[in-house]
Amino acid sequence: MSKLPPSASIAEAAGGAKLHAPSAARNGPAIVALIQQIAPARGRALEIASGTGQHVAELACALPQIDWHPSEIDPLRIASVDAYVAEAGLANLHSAQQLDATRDGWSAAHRPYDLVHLSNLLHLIPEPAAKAVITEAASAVADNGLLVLYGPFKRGGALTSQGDTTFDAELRAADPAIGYKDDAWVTRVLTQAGLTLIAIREMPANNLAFIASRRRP
Amino acid sequence: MNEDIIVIGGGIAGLSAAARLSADAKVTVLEMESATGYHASGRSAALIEENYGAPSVQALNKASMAHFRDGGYLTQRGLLIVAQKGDKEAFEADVSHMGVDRITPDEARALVPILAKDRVDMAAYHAEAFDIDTDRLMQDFIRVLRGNGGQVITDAVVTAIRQDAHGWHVSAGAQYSAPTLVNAAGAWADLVAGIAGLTPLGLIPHRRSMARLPAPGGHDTTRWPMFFGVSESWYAKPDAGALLVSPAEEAATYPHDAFADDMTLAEGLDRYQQMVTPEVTRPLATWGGLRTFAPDRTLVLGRDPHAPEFVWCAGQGGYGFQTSPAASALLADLVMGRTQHLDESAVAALRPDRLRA
Repeated sequence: MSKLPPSASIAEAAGGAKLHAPSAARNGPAIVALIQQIAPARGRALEIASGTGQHVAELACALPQIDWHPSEIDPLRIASVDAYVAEAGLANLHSAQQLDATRDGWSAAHRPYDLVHLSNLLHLIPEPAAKAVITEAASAVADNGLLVLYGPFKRGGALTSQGDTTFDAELRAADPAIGYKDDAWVTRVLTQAGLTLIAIREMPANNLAFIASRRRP
Repeated sequence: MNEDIIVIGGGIAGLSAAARLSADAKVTVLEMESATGYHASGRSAALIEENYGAPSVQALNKASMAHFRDGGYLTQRGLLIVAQKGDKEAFEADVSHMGVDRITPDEARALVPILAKDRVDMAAYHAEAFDIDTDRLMQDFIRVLRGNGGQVITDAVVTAIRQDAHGWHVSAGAQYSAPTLVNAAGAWADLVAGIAGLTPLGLIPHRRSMARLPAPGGHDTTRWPMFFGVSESWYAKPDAGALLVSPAEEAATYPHDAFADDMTLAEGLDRYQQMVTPEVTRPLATWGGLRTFAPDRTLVLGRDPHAPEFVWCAGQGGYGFQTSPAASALLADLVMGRTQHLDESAVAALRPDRLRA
């Protein structure tokens, strides 16, 4: 696991095993609104790096036609995700599976998903690990399925707000191998993972959402 | 918006040209996709071998090496050609024009241990072939452009171009105007010329498919050279713990968001399979890219003789990254009317005038 600055990983105890990340609460509504617009009519979804579990609980509530499968590497966070899952009590929200998404080859053990969602991870890990996550996530996408990557990114090699400049510097001070990835780099890795980029959406707080599909023209 | 120069196309060609031109001009790059380098530049095998391409391309390769070395963009990779018994003639041709040295089949297997003992009869190797850090190269050109006050506009699809006494007026969402227009639109370069009212040059996109295979036989592929079948009938290149294999086809097509051709890929993987021992497994991913060539397979750089404020930076074929430092420098010299540093015959071979006779 990368070394992270305190600003990257604030999650507070929220009763029982539950953790609460204020940042996840802030960007949750925008992510839910985006995925509501693009999600298939039905199917299975995988969330990578579910974190506290706040997002997947909101997504499962807002998109009842989709079967949601959260995943996480960290046991403490898996316990938190499962606490949110239990609290939600939704038939379409499954308990968390332990998954190191940076491990080469993990997608082979999964039945393809119609939607794969990843938020706020790529800036926290080194570039080779980020490439492995995107490549494996792309392999986990079914034909005509979607991959959604959300988070803060550089645009054309540049950091485009003071907040991003500060946060990226904090990340790289904690671990020189991590930090913001570039939009062109993400696009290239998606393409070379066999996906077609559909759109890059501007999101609140200068975040981006990459939407890519495994479709044949 | 009023600029000095508008560059159409945000791949390596347009970004490098824009960076060079921005030293003396206010430059705006218009890219139709949401990110730079989306088409051919995002699908490259990213190798530089100085002897690859026509003589004028080789001149650009050689003139680009200092920029690559000084910037630390290169990692030694090496280039290996392997041939079966019946391929003697094609192998000799490869050896004579690629500047590779003969090695024994055993030496070839020491470099790439999956090569089949009973199949590889001849081999040749050249250490002077390098991976290019394409991401950083493009980002650095963008940084230079921005540092000089230029900009890159993404999601800017060009829908109309007209010229009047004040210069070019380009509709791409917003309106952009400038005296000089650079056409770096890759596979779309002839279309852009057509929109601007110029006769196309005959630039044809050619598809090339790629597959990423799991590391064959569980080998660590990191240090392997790029290895080729004779007459570039297929090639394989290490890529982050996996192996890229391409049928190396050149299928003429039209400008589009390219994807792999499954049948061509299967045939290419079969040619690769004949030379290696591990069974080819299902690819992890496949993709395709377009390499756009002029009829003489040489880049087209400079002012159009029929419309001198229309500048070509096109026809990069499969040489866009390896030639970009010198090609962009030459383009800026030609646009700014400066002395060129490249050999005169190479410059003549690169200018669009040759295709306008």
